Amino acid sequence: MPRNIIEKIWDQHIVSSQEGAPDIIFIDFQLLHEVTSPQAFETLRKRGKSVFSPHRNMATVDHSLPTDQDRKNFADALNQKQIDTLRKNCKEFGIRLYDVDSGHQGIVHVTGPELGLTQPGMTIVCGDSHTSTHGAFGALAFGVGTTQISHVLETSCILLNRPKTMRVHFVGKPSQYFRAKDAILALIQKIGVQGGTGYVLEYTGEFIRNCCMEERMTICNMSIECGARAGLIAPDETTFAFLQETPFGKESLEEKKVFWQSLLTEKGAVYDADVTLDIDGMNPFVTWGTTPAQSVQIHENIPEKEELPESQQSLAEKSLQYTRLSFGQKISGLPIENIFVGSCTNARIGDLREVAAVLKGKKVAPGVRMFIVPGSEQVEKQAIAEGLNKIFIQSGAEFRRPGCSACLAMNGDTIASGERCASTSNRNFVGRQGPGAITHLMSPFMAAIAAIEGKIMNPEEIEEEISSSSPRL
Amino acid sequence: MLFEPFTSRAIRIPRKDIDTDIIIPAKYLKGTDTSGLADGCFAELKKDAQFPMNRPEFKAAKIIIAGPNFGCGSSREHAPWALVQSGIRAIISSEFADIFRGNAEKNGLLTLQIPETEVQELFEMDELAEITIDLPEQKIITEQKQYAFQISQFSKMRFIEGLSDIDYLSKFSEKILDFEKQRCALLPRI
Repeated sequence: MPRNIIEKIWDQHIVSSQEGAPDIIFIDFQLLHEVTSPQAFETLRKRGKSVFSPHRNMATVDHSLPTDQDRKNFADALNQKQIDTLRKNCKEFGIRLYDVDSGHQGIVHVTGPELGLTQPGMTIVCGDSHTSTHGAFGALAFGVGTTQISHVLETSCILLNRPKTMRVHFVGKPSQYFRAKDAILALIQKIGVQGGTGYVLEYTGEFIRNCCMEERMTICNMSIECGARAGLIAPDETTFAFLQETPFGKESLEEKKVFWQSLLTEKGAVYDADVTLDIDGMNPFVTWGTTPAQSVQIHENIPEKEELPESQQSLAEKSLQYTRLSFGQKISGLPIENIFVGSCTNARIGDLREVAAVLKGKKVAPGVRMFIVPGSEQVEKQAIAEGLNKIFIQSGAEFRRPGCSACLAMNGDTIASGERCASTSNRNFVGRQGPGAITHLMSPFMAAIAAIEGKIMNPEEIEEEISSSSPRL
Repeated sequence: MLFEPFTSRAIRIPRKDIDTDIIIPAKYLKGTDTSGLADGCFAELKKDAQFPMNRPEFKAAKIIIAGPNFGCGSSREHAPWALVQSGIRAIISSEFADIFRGNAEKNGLLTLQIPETEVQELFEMDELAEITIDLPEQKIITEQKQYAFQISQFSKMRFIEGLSDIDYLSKFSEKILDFEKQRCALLPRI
């Protein structure tokens, strides 16, 4: 029977499949960071075990690290202890750590791909739900809990039930300001925050094929926001060209390519579910509530209560109470106090280039704090080489050091209670960016527009000329 | 090990999409062990004095009834750790997020999935009414009614016999070694 790419990758990793038990799945690669790994290493230590294959694990520090210039002003002693613990664990168990100033420290989902460690057909896990990012390369990548991290450390395997598969097919040609971030927000709005639960998604369609690797990572990154543990995009020449430029990706690339091409979905293969998303003429998306599905296109108003399905009305009411907005309110024109450009969703060089293109020769609006946090030291270095840092600083924005920062606000980078933040991150949950902080998710382009205007704005309604160079590399 | 049925009052959180940031905000994730997480459990909701976890009547509650898509968001295992440390042994909802559910199971926390209409019935019960969870019989029992829930045999064994994934995986260590040999050539080495 013809199989899709998800089924093929799964089948290639089954160590054992027994009736009445989850499959034993071989994990090719594991990424580690300071927050979810200490207890897993401790488990290993207590069991008196070593790491099954240290050379197929890598670690970096991201969540707890300060992003100020010297990166020593920890929010509290616990943040520092987590990082020191990771250093100690990596040393003891022989795991490669991309530490501060290694040239590759960064958000784990930015660092892995830029090194070329994420490759098609691999199974990749990390104690972080945005591990789905790596699906952009045609890998089956998903978040796991700390107990499973310890299983992978000890055995390179985990127990998991075979997932269902869903094809998400994009059709149509969106408006000129619509970006990859908008495509995934459009999907989440359509199928809901639980619509992908139990599935692994394969994204297809011309829009996807035209996306560069960074844009594909943005889309796959937020698969988890519709409940899907993983989402992937079949590898193609765009994927191979990206890998060719990376230190680990270029090794035996030609031989591997033949294998990678054999992974593609076969003709006639079916999925457990099929979703077609028509993005024709669509405009950029902005969230108004406290789930990533509560969004509108920039020209639209927040829905009226009765326009929403009954099952969503009560949550929408609570969400609007938190975000201090009303049913039917216009989203364009909403004043904003903070702009955060960062996170594993949108802090790669293409994102920073696009923000710089908008900011160049302009000023961040008075009273607005804009901070830009590169995804990794490599992104930071490239941004400096291109002079993007100067554009940011001249416009009045802060250019900080790499890390997760205000995406989940556990390193001290927070948004004040009651203030709004135009954020390029992935979650607008209650209190996510700080107690009482109000998050509006959007693309880096839309965040940059909000920065110069001091409010969330429809780019169509702006009189001055704006540069909208697409981030494609 | 025998999994005895247990009975308690239930904490109701009639809200959909209770995410892991609501269960335990990121600022409580700074530890390097699994202890001390009960304070952070539902930290924002606890700011409301009427939230059941703040009320003496629910001090001994072992059960939470919640809206659909419980546990969505992050993969933090701190979420089930915090719930278990707060005395919770079972969560009833019509839908659970994948990663949360897997993590819960590895920590002895039951995630009982029943249809939304039945969850609504439970929400409508007297708030001080007691509920019994009978895992061997796969039943949620109230004074008025019994509700059946599905659980895989493997999962049930995890709870009843205390079977751990690592013990199960360890039985396959030779097979895993063989498997690794044939995959190695395809993989990057760091």
